Amino acid sequence: MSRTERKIAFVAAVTLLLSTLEYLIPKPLPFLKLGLANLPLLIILDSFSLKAYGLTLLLKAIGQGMVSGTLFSYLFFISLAGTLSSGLIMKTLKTVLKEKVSLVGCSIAGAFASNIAQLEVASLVAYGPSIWIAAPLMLTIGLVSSLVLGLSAELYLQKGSLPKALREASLELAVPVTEEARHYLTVTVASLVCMIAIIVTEGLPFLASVTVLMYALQIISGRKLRLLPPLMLLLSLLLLSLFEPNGKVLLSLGTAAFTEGSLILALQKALRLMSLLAASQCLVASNPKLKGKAGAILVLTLAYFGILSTSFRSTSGSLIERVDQTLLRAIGAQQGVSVPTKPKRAINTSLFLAGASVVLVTAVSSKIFF
Amino acid sequence: MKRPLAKLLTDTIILGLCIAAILWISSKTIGSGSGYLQVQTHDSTYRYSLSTNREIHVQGPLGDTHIIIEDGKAHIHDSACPTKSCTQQKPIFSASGWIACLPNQVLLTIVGESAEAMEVDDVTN
Repeated sequence: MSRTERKIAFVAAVTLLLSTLEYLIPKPLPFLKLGLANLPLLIILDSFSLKAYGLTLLLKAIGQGMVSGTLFSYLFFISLAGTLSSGLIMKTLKTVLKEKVSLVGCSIAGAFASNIAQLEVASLVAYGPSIWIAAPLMLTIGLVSSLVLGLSAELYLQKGSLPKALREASLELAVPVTEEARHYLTVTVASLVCMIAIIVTEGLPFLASVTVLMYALQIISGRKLRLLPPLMLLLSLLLLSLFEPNGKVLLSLGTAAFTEGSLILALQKALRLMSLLAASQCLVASNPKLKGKAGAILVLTLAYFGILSTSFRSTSGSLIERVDQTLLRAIGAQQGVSVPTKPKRAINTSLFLAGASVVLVTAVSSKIFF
Repeated sequence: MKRPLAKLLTDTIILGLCIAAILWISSKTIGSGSGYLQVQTHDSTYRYSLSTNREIHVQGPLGDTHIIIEDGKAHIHDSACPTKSCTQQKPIFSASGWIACLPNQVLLTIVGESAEAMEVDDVTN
């Protein structure tokens, strides 16, 4: 692994740490995002080549997908679109305008591009065109937070020690020793079959049963169930259904009304997306084998992330102090660091396969029924 | 920092462009709904978006009334009434328009229409 590749993996791991931290910060509304993970991407704008920068972007998106388990779902496409478009806009601006643009300008333009791309992809793959109703609010929040983020990046670039260290060619990052985790090929294949089954399942009762089954499979695969994201998905789809009335009026609120047809459509969509998310969690848990050089860098990124998040837990002080301590400790670490591995419970493959076959049977019977 | 003025200028231009774009998108999305078709029958109320083309069948006391939404406008295509005068009415698209089929007790109105459509009406009135 070359020096640059190690640097790329390290920066990508820092973005992963920051996006995990973002979950810890209490927010009044779940979709309010600070975009903390973009901070490293701003700081390296000058020092990374376009190729290295692009690779960092990809690693950030894929790494986030692996950590949150959404890699094989619609959420990954939304996040990838946001990361790539904002990264490329920022890099282009900095390359073309050089000293004439500050990180504040890059940050604002990047956030804007990211939000537009995410809205477009979200409307294509999950929500439909009515999601654009959220555009003014999302874009305004993005503008304010990216302004703050850009200013912090400028400050950090001048005062922080890490940017200088990263720019130095002599910086040697240790390659941690990683233990290869077990791959579950049967779980991978069964999860893929489940995804197809979810897509073809019709009818609310069948979709509801499939959703329950998929959550059970997610538990069997050892991934934690998180309640907030599916609830938010359900709520936002129900809200959006107000703008696409279709059928008998059930409840009228002034000019908006809940209609039978659009409620059923929203529920079906929500259940399908929730099941697909659970299937993605199972696929990630099955730990599909990563091949080639790209796979090796990804493994290294996740290894750095493991080190960073473990050492973050042992730091104290304010959030910023803790991040700084974590980074300096990781940079200063000597050769031969091993990634702290959590003892993982093995997946009960036969139980998983049994669950997956029930999903398949449900899907097929829904086809016969409808 | 070198050339802070140039930086400030570029940043301000980027900020300005983004604000302008947000305002433009807001003006397009807020109140851009082309309005909804509300169909009242003797026993229920139905509502449909005008932005999607579709065919609707509702039941009145005499039988089926066939409504078509096309290009943001709605009209009665066929109805189980004796005169079928409702099928002769012009397609409706704004709050001032309505179509009624009295024998079959079906009333079509437009609700929640956009400001843009209102302006068009003001001119025609």
